[in-house]
Amino acid sequence: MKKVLVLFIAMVAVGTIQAQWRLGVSGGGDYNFYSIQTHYQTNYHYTGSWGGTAAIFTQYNFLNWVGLRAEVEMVQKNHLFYRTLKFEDTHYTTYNTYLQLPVMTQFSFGGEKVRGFVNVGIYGGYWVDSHLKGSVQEPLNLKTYPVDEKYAFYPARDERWDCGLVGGLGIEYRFLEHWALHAEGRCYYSFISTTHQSSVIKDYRYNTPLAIQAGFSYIF
Amino acid sequence: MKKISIIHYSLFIILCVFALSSCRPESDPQWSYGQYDNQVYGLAGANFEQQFIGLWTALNENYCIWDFELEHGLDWDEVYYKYLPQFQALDQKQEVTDEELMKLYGEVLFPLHDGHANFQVRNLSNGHFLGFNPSLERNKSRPDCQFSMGFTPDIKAYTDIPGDCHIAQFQTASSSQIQFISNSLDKASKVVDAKLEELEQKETLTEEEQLIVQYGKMFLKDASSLEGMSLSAGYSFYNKICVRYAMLADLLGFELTPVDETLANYTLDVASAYLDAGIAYFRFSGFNLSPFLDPGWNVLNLANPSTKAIQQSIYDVWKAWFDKIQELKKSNALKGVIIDVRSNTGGYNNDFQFALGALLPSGGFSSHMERTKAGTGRYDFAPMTPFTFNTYKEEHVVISEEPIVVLANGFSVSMAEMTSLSTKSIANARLVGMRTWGGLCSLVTDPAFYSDAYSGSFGVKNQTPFYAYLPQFVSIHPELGILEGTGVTPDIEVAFDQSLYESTGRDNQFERAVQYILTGN
Repeated sequence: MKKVLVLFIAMVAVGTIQAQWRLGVSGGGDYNFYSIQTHYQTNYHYTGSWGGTAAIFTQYNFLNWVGLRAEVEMVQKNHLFYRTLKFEDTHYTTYNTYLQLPVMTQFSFGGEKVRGFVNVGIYGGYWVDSHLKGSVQEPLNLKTYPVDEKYAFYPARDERWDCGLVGGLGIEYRFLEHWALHAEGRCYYSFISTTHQSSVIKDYRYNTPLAIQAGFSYIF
Repeated sequence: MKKISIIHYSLFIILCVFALSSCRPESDPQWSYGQYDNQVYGLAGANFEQQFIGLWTALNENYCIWDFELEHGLDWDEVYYKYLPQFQALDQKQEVTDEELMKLYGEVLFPLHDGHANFQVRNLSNGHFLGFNPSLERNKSRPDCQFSMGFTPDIKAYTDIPGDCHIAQFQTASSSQIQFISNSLDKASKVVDAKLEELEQKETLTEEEQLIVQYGKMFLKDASSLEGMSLSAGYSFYNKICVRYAMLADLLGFELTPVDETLANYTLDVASAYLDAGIAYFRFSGFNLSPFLDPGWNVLNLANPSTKAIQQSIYDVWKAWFDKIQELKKSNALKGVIIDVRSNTGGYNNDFQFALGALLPSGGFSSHMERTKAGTGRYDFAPMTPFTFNTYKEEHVVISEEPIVVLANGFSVSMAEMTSLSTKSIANARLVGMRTWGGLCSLVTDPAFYSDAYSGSFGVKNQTPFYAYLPQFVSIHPELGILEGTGVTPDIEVAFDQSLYESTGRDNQFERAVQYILTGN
């Protein structure tokens, strides 16, 4: 036990010499997979939709190959609803904006200039805004109306807090001593349904955005 | 070596994390109660527990105003947990009486506010079907509703009452064939009675005379058994009498003309009047005008002369009102218009164009929004859209200055309420009378259209273990919100003076409408 402890302290001491802070920004696009069961309502269809991401982050590398990263980010988790047959003019996208705080461990590997990395962690978030845009057909007369409106959050229905797992795979290019560019593919896997659940009938809806983003950071 | 180990380690962590995290809970399976599914309703008929669970679930998915109910303190999940044990307890009993089941389901269903909602459940113990009408139960305590349910507006007395309300021209028509049937059977019965009396005096009867006696007695029995039958049952039975006794009619020389049974589906009484004061009045018993006024509907058998005569008479009454408005407006003699929807229980949306819509510009009219469901979740709603009524398409004058008064009472329901609500969006319109019933949501009850919004009615009446008659669309006024269970409040409240009406034939609500038109107060 003592030997393990001494070894661990030695590793940290060595690592501390190489510890680095960095501050950066990133942004990109994401495609959200919206999981929802339409059950017998075969005329209702949901698909994913594209959105955007933007973040500022800070990272502290304990060792050359491992660090802790925290971000404040905006992620859109959008989806499209559409109908078919005589209601084919009903289709609208719901644009959902989440403010999130992912905290990840980054494992990196490679050379001095070009390194690959893996981010693994958890995130917490809040559904700050939602907007509907498209068109809807009124069933009685089949007349089509444009839809461009703020989504009215309804406390009994909408679960605005979110959390889940986050993981990403990317590559970094250190083009100057203190500057680096990076590109990353990332997935957010939510554990929280977007709707409050009735205690009698469970009907879960989940967002799973896959993001492709790029950015740069300043290494202190 | 170290770098490869780090990569492998990292990938392993990611894979483990996502493998573990693939365990998102599954949603519960849900079935369609809106289409007659033998398995789903079979389960609901197994015992009272399953019946309650089925009805609770069907309502959870198909009822359109759960947000409104929650605002009024109704938590549907709480209802489930409170009443499930009580229905389970019923399954332990040898026999469940209708009274016990009525009481229990009444507690579950009567708090619902939808003004159209109507339910039926089968007592699984004895097979009896029991009915529940939450709005009827709620409105029992409103004296005006109770009175209005038995009231038929009739201003004919004003043809003889001098003053501002004096009627110069008055006409009525009805789709009812009850009087025709009654007259036919009365005449025929007199002929048969007389013949039977004559034949009683004879000692021996010919073969033909024996047939007349036999069929004559059967005819008299059948002719007297129509009383108490529903309209459609009565029309159908009368037509059977016409066929069965055609030979007797031929022998004795009386006429039995069949009636058009489809008219039982389109019951309508109309009245129009022109007041000396320059006011045009129109009253109709239900929003069933389209079959008689809209040639595009083509639902009546106009090849039948008596049907054609009925259709023409109703059309003439409406046209008299419409033409009088055109004439008075063009000659600057129009003082106002009254549309009387008291004790009118609603009907077709299309009818709007023949009443209030005949006074508005062509191209449609919208006074409120509608909302449908968009998912199985209790609060899954589609974006709201304007609820647009058709207005009269042909050339006509627009009444934008002269007062329009809609008369309504506690038994003005559905389209009568939509018409009442529309006055709130028309500057020169006013609602006079009493607060309406509280049933403004729109219905499409044909199961073929269930998938238009996957909501509304479910089950089959007198067949499935439970049945519900429910709207598919919610009406939402931009300022007044949802008015289910509440109704439309009049601008000028006037309680009907029953004793005045019974003693003099005067209608104080009608008089108040005339007063408003003539004085602005």
